[in-house]
Amino acid sequence: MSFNWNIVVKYWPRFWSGTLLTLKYAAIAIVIATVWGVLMGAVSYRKPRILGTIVRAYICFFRETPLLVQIYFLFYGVSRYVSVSAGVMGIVALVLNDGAFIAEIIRGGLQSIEIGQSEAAYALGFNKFQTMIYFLIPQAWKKVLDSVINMFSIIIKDTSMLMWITICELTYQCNQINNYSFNPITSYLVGGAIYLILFFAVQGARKLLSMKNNPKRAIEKRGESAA
Amino acid sequence: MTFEDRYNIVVKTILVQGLPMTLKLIFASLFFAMLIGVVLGTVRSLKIPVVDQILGAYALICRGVPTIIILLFFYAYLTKGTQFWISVLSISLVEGAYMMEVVKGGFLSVDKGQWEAAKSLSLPLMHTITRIILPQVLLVTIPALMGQIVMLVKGTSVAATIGCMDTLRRAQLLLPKYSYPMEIYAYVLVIFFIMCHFLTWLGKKLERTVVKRIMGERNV
Repeated sequence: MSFNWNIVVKYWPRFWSGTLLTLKYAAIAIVIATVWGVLMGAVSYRKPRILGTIVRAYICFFRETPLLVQIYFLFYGVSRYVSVSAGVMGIVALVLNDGAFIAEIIRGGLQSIEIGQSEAAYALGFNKFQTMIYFLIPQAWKKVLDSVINMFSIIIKDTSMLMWITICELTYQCNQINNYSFNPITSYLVGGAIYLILFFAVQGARKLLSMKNNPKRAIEKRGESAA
Repeated sequence: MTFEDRYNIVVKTILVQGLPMTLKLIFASLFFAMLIGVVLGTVRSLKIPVVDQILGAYALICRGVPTIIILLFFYAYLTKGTQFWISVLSISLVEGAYMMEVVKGGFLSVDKGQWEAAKSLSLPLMHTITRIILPQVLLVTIPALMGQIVMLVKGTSVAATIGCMDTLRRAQLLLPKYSYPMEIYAYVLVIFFIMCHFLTWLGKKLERTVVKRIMGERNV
């Protein structure tokens, strides 16, 4: 058993469709999870009396339970009562899980902003909601952008869990190709390489953005590496 | 569902049959992951030219590729070994890579001047490491390491997918008999939550103790 190019060529359509599906689910989950995470992070920072406790409990619970069990719970448990497709349930699970992580990152970013910012906004007559939208979240977003984009690459990895709820994404296709060709090295190596390429793409985007965000630091860093 | 059914599910199956396997998985993977993390992390902090690049590639692969792909690959490729050891192998490889990065970061966070200052005071090497360098490393690594351990505990649930008889798999096998998937999976979620929450609490406490021991009462 060794690496075999013929298998790659023969089953390339399967790899390709799996990659596209992974990208599709990852993209949808990333967009919704970011919005959801910012929302939850803002609420858990503000700590309204009842809602704040609920949101805190949600974030704590979903951060400390495995994604796989959550997916099973939602797909086999909840979808008995709420009939939606596997794809929607998969997205819901990814959003709930990774949104909780993003919310915690956003909350950390919000807490690191000095209180003078919101006081200045209140003094100018902005209400709490406007202060949040116009002053705090943009500043926090800039601070935590690096870790949030890191979460995006984790979301791409997490989509591999969706194979257990009948979604034919990349990991599922690799498994199928291995079943047909009995060549685990080829099938999983190609699958892993595709995931690695996606990972590199996200990390490259992260580096570009962080350079754009604070060009000064990037230049300093470049100077360091040159010296 | 009657009370007796619930007793059968929770106590007889999940707690008595499933949980010991999960704990075994956790402790075995934790042992090997820590071993990989501490040894290779120390090696990486020395920055030996070729070795450093190889270990960097290993860390990158484990960070970029999902655990499931690695698990399924070993499950298909290795013809020997039980599901338990295959799961332990892949989980500890992946988590070991993360721990390696944490340990490396801890060592690199200690300023070079600390070594030089200890040398100029002609402290013996053993003393320098145990009294000067390691406390500073621990201060940085313990919070990150505890977070990684929580990730490891959560990560052991994927072992169920290749048929390792842990909590999740036992719960799944109950489904044909009792058709209450929501309740059964909720029990599994609660068990994992208890374990992870305990570890998070322990991590916070440990962090506070370490800070108190190393930096003094005022910095807690």
